Amino acid sequence: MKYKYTFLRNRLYYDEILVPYLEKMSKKGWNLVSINTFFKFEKTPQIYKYQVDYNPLTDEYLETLSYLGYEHVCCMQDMHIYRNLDLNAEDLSSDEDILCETKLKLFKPWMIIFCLLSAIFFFSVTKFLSWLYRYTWGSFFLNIDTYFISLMLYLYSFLCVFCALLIFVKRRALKKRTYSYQKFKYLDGAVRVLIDIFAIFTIIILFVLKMNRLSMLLEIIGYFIMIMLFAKIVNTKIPLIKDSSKRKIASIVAVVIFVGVYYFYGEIDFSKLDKQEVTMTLPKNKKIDVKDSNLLVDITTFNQKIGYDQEVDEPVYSYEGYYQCANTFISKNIFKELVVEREREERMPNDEEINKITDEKGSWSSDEVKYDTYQNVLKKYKSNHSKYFDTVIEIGQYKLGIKEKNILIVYDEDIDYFYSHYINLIKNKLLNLLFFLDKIQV
Amino acid sequence: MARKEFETLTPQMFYILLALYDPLCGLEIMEKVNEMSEGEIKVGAGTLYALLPRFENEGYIKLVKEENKRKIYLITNNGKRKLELEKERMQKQIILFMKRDYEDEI
Repeated sequence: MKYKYTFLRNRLYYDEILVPYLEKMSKKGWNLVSINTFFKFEKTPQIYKYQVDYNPLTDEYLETLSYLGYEHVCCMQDMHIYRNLDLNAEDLSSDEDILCETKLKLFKPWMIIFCLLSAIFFFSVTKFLSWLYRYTWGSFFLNIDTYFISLMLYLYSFLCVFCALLIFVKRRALKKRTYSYQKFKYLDGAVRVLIDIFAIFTIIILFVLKMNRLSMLLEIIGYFIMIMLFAKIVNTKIPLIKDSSKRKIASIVAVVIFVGVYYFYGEIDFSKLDKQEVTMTLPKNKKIDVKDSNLLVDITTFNQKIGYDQEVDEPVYSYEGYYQCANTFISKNIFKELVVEREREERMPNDEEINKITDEKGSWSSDEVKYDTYQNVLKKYKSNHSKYFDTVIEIGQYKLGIKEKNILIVYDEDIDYFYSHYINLIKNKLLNLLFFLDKIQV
Repeated sequence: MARKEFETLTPQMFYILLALYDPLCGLEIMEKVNEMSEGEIKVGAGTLYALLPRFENEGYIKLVKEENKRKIYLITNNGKRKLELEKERMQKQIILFMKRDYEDEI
């Protein structure tokens, strides 16, 4: 059986475009099988007359239609497609007015509210994420994932507002009986273009940025498949149920199952596919953490317990890492950002001081501690001499060094000693061997 | 500008209600309307099955029984009153037209 798939474009919901399209395809030998993400056609010789109908299915209705020669082809939500071998059969709709009233049910008022609430939700998440990065090159390269996710959420909230507007305008046109393809083709076209841009953008984020994290990729692909399956069942299988109360029950059951599967899928631990943590005898017994990477920066972190926080009952770790960047522009900017961040951390008051301030002024927020410029920090903290690094800056217990594309931050260590020790291990590929040994032990 | 629903009846609506002076099911209504109007008025299946629940909500028709999954409807007194109103409205229009026609002749 030969099949053909075509894009939906904006043919859905405009009967004056959809019906001629289906009949044109039928004359060419392609008859509709189903509508989901695409139109699916099969190669059959018969030519049919096609009709679009928005009435819910009942046994009696289908019997009447079958008596008239109409056969149900497929459905998409409340829209049903019928075909008839008799090309001169009567149309299903004889009253434009009634048809508009029925179509109004496709665009329910609560959808507008839902779209607007979604827009507000996505926008507030971007606001929440915005405190994770600053508007500097360094911050961008370090937090490239967060930047793109924020951008994606902005786009998405804009799209939701646009959709709400579209549904509102369509409802008004249906009520005034002015609903037509000619009127809406530009608006619909614009929404479609936005959705395409958004889809391409999402794919770029997933595959380009998460190239090295197999676990994240698999997780996201799994969620995507789940959502597509759920949408397919709700759009094409549930409207086929003939009893309206059974349909409602089926919808609720589908949602419950989806939420359940979504939750349990989230519980699966994919991280075993990524490289494991390894405890190595580096200076001061540091643990090497899983690599965090995107196309531009590879970050290896070293965890060292330096204290214990009584209040939250958790150990405190030092902030150390080895950054391998794609080029010197990136490494220079990241270095500046890391230096400036570390300097601000030094000026951050401890808990006792915060309590004093809140007693005096009533409130305190971390925003009150501002970032200094890189030049000022360089003046305050002179750079040290180093064997390996071009520049080494010492801020408190931390030492930050940069050499061309690589940056190293260590806590309470001699930076040259740490570098030679760690790099030798990498070069001798002992690290890979230890990863392998660790996996066997586990 | 769309008229308010059922403010006036279209010919199709009028014939459907008229047909339901006898208890009939969907397909039978379509055939009766076609017969009564001598082929002039045809009700599409989609339109009919969209109208019947609405008539039922307005109280113009009622469900009398269900045979072999087929719903059989009958016009109510409310429906008959609506038809009566329609008849009067149409008569008014005809009289005005005939008056004009008569004046023209003079």
